[in-house]
Amino acid sequence: MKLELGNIKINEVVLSEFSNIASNSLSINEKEIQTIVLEDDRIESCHIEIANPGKSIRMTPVKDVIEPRCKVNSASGVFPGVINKVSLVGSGRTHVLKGCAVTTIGKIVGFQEGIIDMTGPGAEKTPFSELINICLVLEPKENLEPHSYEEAARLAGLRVADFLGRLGHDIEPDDIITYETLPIFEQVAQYPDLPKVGYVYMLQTQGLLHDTYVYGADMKHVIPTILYPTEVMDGAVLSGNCVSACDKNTTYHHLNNPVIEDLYNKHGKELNFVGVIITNETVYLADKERSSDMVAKLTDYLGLDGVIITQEGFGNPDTDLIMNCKKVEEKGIKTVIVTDEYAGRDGASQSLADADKLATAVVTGGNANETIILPPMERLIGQTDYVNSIAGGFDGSLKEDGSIEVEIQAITGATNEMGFNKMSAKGN
Amino acid sequence: MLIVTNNPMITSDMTNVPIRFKEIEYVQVLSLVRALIVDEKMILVTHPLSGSIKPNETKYKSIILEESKQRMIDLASLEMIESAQAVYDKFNEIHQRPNWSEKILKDFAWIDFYIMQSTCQRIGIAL
Repeated sequence: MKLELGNIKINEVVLSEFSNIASNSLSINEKEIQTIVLEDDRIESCHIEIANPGKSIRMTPVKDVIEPRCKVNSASGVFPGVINKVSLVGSGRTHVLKGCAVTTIGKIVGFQEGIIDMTGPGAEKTPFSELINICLVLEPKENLEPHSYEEAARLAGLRVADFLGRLGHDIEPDDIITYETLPIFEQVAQYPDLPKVGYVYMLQTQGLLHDTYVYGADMKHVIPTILYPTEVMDGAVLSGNCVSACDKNTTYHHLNNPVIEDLYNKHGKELNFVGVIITNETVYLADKERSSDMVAKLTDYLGLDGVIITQEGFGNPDTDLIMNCKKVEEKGIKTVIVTDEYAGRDGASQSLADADKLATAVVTGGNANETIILPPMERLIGQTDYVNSIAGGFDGSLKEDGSIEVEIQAITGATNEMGFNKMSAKGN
Repeated sequence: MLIVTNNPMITSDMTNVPIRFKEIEYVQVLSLVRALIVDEKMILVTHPLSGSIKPNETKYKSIILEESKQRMIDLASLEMIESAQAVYDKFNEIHQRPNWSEKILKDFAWIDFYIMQSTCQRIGIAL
């Protein structure tokens, strides 16, 4: 499967009478967006605010961050099975509006959604402070059940990102990067002397408000399977969850999965990137056994020499992470796990809820219990009356002057367990 | 099977599996489950840290167990519940659960309910 990713650099986003892209500037007609969002009668109101990098702006509570993309001259569309018809993606050409994102803001369950500051110490903890955030501020209809609102907010963000992405269909990209993975036997034969490396991609699937969708299918009902890495870049994998902000994989993370990106960078040079195995993180222990058995079997079946495993969330998923690691290692295949830590304020406590002696190579996204004081910002998008109840907030978090004392787990993307954050060390 | 819970939303119209509801703290649910594993030789069916919500955030916890055919303690279950207790102790030491408003408590109850509802469907014990 071969995908050309055409990046259209977006340097400016403005609200305007017409929606279009010209000279790397994205204009958005707010009324058009409202029409798209309010198609869903579960949403009471919606408005757009633009948050630019470096400005004194705080966004909270943030639900999802989505990069606008579109398929070019294709019968398929991004986010297949959800926004567009079910159809295989990952090949052909995709245009990306680089440098901006649709950020959905609204309280879903009174906690678990995060904070993004556009300047100051908080901004240094999240990669999203470097994007132009097109904030979709949502209000649900009264008495809507939380899971129904989560779905409405998720779909609203995706529809808007799809609409904005399509504005780039006929624009000549600033750069085009080609990614290609061959069918397995050809791929192995292409670089016979390089180690065969796969990626075990764990997806949050504990239940409503904790789900991930693959081609629209609820991943907790799917046994582990294989994807071409490029399918992920077209939105085959979507976030549908409200786990704590720091280690939630937003849709932006899935689209820009850094493990896939880095494995492609080393593909054909240091290693042979063979493919992606997607798996789940369930509550039912029998599913954990089944899924980790399948993961280990697939790594063996593909003849892999090494595997990188990433996770999403805390506690229950730690058990899946360790089971995957242990069972893959027992097949004689080397593993590296990517996670984050809840190691106490001083970082001295046990980091994960589970462990095994075979988990010898670990990359950490940081300690989510580390505390930070976020200074007041001049402008607020959303509302802070829920800061005390955001994961990582605690009694007295919101000070009179508007500053907030929280654990960094309250900051969207701060300790991302794919390594898509600023606290990870990066080698050359 | 048996559902142990302190969440009032977990009711018998959800499943035909017996529900042991008690108005107790989160940590006491873990202790009760551990006692069932040790004394009654029951086995964990669901992960005690379901939900990825920190034990010093949520008040509610529901855990499903099943009877063992053997009269021995299931060591994997014991290890898992004791790990969950250790995680609880760690988080409780960092800071204790705030005195949440009724609205927030209801949200936490929803989260636990949704996870149990999905899990009962997954296991095939939903009504």
